[in-house]
This record gives sequence, structure tokens and C-alpha cells, in this order.
Amino acid sequence: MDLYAEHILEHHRHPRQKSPIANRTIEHTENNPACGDAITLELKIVKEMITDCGWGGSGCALSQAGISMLVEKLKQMPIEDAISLSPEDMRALLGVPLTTRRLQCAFLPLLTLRNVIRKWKGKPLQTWAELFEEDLA
Amino acid sequence: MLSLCVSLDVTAIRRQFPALQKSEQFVYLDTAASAQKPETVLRAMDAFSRQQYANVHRGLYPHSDEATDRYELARESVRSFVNAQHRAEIIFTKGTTESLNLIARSWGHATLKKGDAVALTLLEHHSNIVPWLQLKEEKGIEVVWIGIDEQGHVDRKELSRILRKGNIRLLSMTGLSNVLGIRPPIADIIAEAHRSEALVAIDAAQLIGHHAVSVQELDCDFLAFSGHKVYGPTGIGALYAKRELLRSMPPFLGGGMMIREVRQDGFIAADAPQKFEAGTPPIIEAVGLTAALEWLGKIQWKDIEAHEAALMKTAYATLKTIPGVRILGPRRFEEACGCVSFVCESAHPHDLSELLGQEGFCLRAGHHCAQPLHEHLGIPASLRVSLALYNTEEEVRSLGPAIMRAVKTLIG
Repeated sequence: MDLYAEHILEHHRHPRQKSPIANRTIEHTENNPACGDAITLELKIVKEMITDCGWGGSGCALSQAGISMLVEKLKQMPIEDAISLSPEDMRALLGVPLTTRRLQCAFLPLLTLRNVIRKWKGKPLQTWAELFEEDLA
Repeated sequence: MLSLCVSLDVTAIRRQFPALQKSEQFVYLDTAASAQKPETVLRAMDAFSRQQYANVHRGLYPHSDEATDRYELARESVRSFVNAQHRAEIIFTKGTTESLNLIARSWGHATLKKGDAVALTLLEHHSNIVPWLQLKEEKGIEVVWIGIDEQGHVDRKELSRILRKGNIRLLSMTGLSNVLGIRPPIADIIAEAHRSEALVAIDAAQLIGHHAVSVQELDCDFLAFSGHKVYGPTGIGALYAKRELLRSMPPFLGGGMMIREVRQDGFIAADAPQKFEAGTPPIIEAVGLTAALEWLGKIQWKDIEAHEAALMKTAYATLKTIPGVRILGPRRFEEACGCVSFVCESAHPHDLSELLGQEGFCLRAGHHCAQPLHEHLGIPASLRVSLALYNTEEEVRSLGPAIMRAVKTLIG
């Protein structure tokens, strides 16, 4: 299957929940230094549960479709489930073959999710290197 | 008036590049990142590796002597190529990045004091920015930026004003932008900087493959370039520096070859160029570089310039027909050389590059290691078409429909 499969292009053209949310609990921005892609993710967290989420950002079709697909899954997801979403889960969610040169685009949504939750928990932020190591494991 | 009369036999040139003989479509428009290598370079390196290889300046046996001769012949090739006065003014490095770092780490570290300033233009590549920012952190020197106009021309009034401040010890600038393809008038700028007693370092990474460079005519104090941008191998580059500067500069890296004498309590450095070439140098690469410069030397610069100007004219004409495409840099193609960068309002550079890549078009997307420039232009990334003597007008023209197909895929 092609990287620009119909479902990727569809999310890219019609991104879901791409707007700020009311009464957010926490927000966090991550960027991809190689190309300038950026994603800001906002979560409303009630009793360890994501009750609402929204996002903003700009970048390539892959990173923007990826966050659009990810936020669709997040609503009503317990925080513990959200933080345990793995690089493998992100690959499955995207459902297209990833080349080395596009891994940062593909994982930017996941890194943003990991770090918005870590920020909320007061934990140190995850680095790209740690995420890639996890992906290789 | 620039002549666009082309007398370069591009078909014959292309035949000399094994990488361009693929059966599938391969339109290589990324020479600004690295050039493909002609057969003669690959053969020279292969033959030397098989038959004559040994370390240099070491063994007292014939093979080592021969390797040393070949290595020093490479130095002579570079000297002649950049028209330096003395062979000892040519230091071999890994490439432009190491050459520029050598200036900062050796000359800069030994000479600059708090309150001194190094001036850079907004056109610079990260390799001509970060070494100076490191010195700023370590020694408290100032890094002063010279602006550009919306087409990339260096702001000469600002440059003059900055030079008049009197604390600029070095102006370190590109001879040809790796993003906008603009060629600052370095000869004129060097003369002006010298009147203010500032030294000038030229990052010639891009310039070196597109125009003749004469360090004596330019009167620059330092000049850096990489072998792989002049159709030679990776892993070797050069720094030219005036002899009197090299005499007072301390060694860069410590190790073998760079010393005259080592005792338990100290050492005496060798003279230039060995003083700056610690360790086993890139010997095979030096042989490849010699072959590349000899190969390039057989082609007239005026023919290369005319061919590449014709390519640039086609590139501008092609890009201008694509809806939503905005060319960064000079408005007139006559002012651009080597590369042209652009953005497309409906498509991200990475997506375009990826989709073009699927059709065999090799273009670089990103900030091209020039983040301050992209920040100045107000864009996170751009797409770059870079041109070389083996490209054809047909290749450049075929990029137009390919970009339009990619945009259609993305926006539907």
C-alpha cells in the first residue's frame, strides 16, 4: 500500500477535531526539528479519563493525518491506556508502510500525546531517541 | 548580458556518470546536497586502493612514498583549482563543516576576545553559524547578523554600518546560497571588510562547483569547500588560509602527523599544513578528489556557467507556470545559480518531495540546514531544485507536470 493511501489523504484533507477545546486540563506542543512540523494537543482530563481533546498544528500529510486519526481514538480513553499506546500501535493506526525518512512525521503525533500526559503527570518529557529505541525493540 | 549559448555536450557528460545510467527514471536535482561521481573518480579510487595503497608520510618503503606523492599531488590539485599561491596554504579536512570549525576552533579560539565580533549573513548554512555560536558561548564574543532583502541580496548598507563599528574581526559568509541560489558580490565585500581590518572567510561549499574560484583574486583570508560538491568523494574537503595566518594559528586536533616533536612534558607542532592534519588523512578520497578536479578542469567554466544558466532559466519558467508555487530568492533567473527553492501553498514540501521521489525526481525538502534564513522568510521548510552540469533542460521541464500531479494527489 502507498504512503498516500486514501484514508491518509482523507484525514489530511478533512482533519478531525482540529480546534481548541473548552476547559482544557493541559496542552503541549512538539515539533519535528527536521522539517518544522508542529502539533499542539489539548486534553480535558476528568478522573483519569480523557473526556475531550483537540489539536492544532501544521505540517506534512502524514503527521497531520496521524494526529487526526489519533485524536479520534482518544475520547473517553483512560489516561493509562493513552500513555501506553506504543510506536507499534501508531504504525497500525496509520496502516501504511513507513520508510526511515518519514518516521519522525509518523511518530510526531505519538510523541505529542506521550508528552502532554507526562507534562500533566509532572514527569520528564520523552525524547525522540527514546521513542525510536522503543520502536526498534 | 549573460550568454545562454550552450556548447556543453551534456549527453557525453551524462554517459560518464554510472549513477545516471539507471533503467528507471532518475532525475537527480539534489547536487547542492551532494554531486554524483564520474567514472574516472570511481576508477581512480578503486585502482589506487587495489594497487598502490599505503599510509602516507610514514613508511620508508616505495608504496608509502607513492601514496604520499599521490596525497600531496591532491594538495597541488586543490591549490591550482582555487589558485592559491602556496601548496602549504591548503589543509585537508573532512569537508566544509570541518574547515569552518577549524577556523573557529583554531584561529577564533586563539584570537578572539570578549567584545570582538564575528559577522554572518542571514544566508548562512548551519556549519557557518554553529561554530561561531559555540565561540559566543565559550568566550563571550558577539555574533552579528547582516540582513538580506526579500530576494536574498545582502544588505550592503547594514554591512557597512556593522563594519564601521570597528569590533568585527571576521566576516564569515557564503559565496553562493544553498537555498536561494543567490551569489553575493564577495570580491567587493572582501575589499570593504579589509578596509575595516576585518578578515573574511568564504563558505564556498556551493560556489566551488559552479564558478571558477581564485583565492588570490578574491583576496579572502579563508575559504572552505567539500570534495563531494565538485563531483569528488565524500570524506574530504579543504580549507584555504593565508600562509601568515596559518603560522600563528594553533593546531586544531592533536595526534600523529601534526607534531615535530613530542616529549613527556610537551610537544612542538609541525608546520602547516601538517599542523592541522592530525591522524591518518583521507588518502583514497584525496586520490578521488584529484581525479574529480582534473575531470572538471577539462571543461571550460564558461560552458558550465552557460549550461547551468539555461537550466536555471528553464527551472524558473517551469516553476512559474505551476499554480500556488512561490519561488524564494531572486526574481530574475539571471541572478540565481546552482539552486532554486520554492514553496507551494497547497502542499507541504515533505509530501511533494516524497511523491516526486516515487516518480524518480530527487529533490531536497526541509530547511536545508539554514533555519535562521527560513525563519526570516517566515516558512518552516521549502523544496529545492539544484542543478549541475549533468542535468538537462528536459529533466527540469518534466518537473512541472510531476509537481502538478503530486499536488493533485494531495489536495484531490
